[in-house]
Amino acid sequence: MKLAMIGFGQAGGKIVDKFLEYDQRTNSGIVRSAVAVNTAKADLLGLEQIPEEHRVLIGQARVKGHGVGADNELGAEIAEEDIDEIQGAIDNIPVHEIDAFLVVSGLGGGTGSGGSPVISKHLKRIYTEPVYGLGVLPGGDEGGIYTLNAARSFQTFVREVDNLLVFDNDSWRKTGESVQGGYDHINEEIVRRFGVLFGAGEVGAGDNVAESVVDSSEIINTLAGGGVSTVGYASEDVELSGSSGGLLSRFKGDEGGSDMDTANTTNRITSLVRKAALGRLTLPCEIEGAERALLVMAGPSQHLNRKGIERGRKWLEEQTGSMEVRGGDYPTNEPRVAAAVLLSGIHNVPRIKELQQIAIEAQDNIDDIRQQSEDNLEQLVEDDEDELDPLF
Amino acid sequence: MSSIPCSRATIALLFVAVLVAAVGPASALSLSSEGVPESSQVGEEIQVTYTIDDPFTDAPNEWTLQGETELEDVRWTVTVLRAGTQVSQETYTEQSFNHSLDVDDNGDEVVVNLDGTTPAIENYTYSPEETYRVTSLDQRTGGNVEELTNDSAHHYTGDSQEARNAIEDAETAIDEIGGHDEAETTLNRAITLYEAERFSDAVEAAEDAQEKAENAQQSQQTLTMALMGGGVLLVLALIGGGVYYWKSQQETVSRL
Repeated sequence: MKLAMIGFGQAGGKIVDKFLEYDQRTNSGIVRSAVAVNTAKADLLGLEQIPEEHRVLIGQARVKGHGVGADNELGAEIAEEDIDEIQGAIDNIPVHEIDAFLVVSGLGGGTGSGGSPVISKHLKRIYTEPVYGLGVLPGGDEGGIYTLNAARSFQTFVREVDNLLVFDNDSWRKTGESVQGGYDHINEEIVRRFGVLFGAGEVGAGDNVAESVVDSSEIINTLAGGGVSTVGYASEDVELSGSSGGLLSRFKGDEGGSDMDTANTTNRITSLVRKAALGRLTLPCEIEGAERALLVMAGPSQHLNRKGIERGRKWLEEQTGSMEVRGGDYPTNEPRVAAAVLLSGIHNVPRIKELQQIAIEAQDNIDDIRQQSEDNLEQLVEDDEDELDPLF
Repeated sequence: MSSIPCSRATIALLFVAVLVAAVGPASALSLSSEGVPESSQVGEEIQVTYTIDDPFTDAPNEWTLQGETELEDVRWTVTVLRAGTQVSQETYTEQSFNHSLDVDDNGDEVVVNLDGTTPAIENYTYSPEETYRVTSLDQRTGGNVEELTNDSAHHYTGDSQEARNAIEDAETAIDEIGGHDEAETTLNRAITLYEAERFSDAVEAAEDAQEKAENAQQSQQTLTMALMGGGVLLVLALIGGGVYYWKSQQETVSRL
């Protein structure tokens, strides 16, 4: 699946930058074009892979290239005002070559949180290609204002895109990480998951062709109903028979354990599918009630078998209660087998409810303080008996 | 028993030593020379002066000074002096002369002047180089002849010297590259031509030999440079390959 990626804000730009790096490193061919949009000049300068001419600095008249300071209403306003500048960069994208747009942003901040729904709305109006969003939720400990931003942006973003893929920072935080190391690690995780998912159908010149290809239409159809999606991922190291067996064992024709191997492979696949769907989802949720699902099994072709994938798919059908579960394989030449599960149209997400609760509290708190603020200031400035007069 | 042959040998050695000691003082005349050339061109005029101080100290009272030269158009002047004052003078125009000296003449210094022109070369040889006798002076006492001096010099013509220089240059060039068969063959031919008095041919051959040697040196240098360049490239390629391999090992290309 070939994507045009638009990274909005600091987090969005960094993730798109990471996607490009992954794409170049692994030759997976998922990023056709990449654009970074920001109101802060420093954030754009920090990018490494995105070409200079694809970095758009907006709102210079309003904020002089210093960002919007976590004010997502201002972010949305600026995006709307400068939409033509963003469109100028998007015009360079060969849209006929792409399968979809992916707008990436952090939902807790200002620019990305406010601007990404605006650009999504704009793209949907102009192009027939689907527009997906990839939103990153802030961690619970990042602060009330960010949670409020995220809750408000989430509402708008879901409405404006064809499907919103959500990644929750909270479920990936590790203790004792440095600020940069922590975000780098999270961004790596994001890119690997979506890289496997979107890269499955992209077969290059020397690659093995899958038995059951996960084409871009499979992904588009899985995401088609709209709503919110999450991705589960699990992997396990295996031995590549080419490197471990060598010439001698090939001559020996050591085929004795083939039944055993088949059983192992099947069991490995089903256990990976369970781990992916129940373990680490990008947005933790109850998978029961998910409207559609897609299973991609990646790994060396001798470690992928039809029976395993079928069983995994069946298990997903049972768990989600949905009959619309697609599946396919993605042969790679790596000593690792991975399962990526895309669950689309999820409803039962406690984390979102919790986020909204905190956001409401934060909003009330902000309103209260704002109301009291004037009285408090008056109390401080004016004397008790009102004996003093101001100068003019 | 064993001491007898030993003592005999000692006696023989002593005898020889005594003989040498007895003969030694006979040639103790002091002679100095001036103007003896190392080399001269054919036809060039040469002037040589020999001075014998105290001709009768440690010498017989009467002896004959014999002189001989290969110079042409010769003029010998033998002057006997006493405390710087001329006692007698004699002139000879032959290539050889005999001049009798007597202690009664009261001379304490004998000066021999020789004027002549460099003789033509009869036989050209490259090595050893062709020479002629400038002067030989002998002291004859009765039947005993003692040599006082024998000076010779290299003589050349303009052509022969040119050819000799060319051959020497070629030899130097060949030595510098530590020998080169083809150049050496050409050099030998140049020497043969020189000795056959074909000087212009010899110059040509020598220049040819020099050129061959220089070319060989140049190609040797080029080869050395090429080898060094190749070596440097190989080292760079190895380093580059190593770095590339290392980087490719560091980098995970894993998609999963």
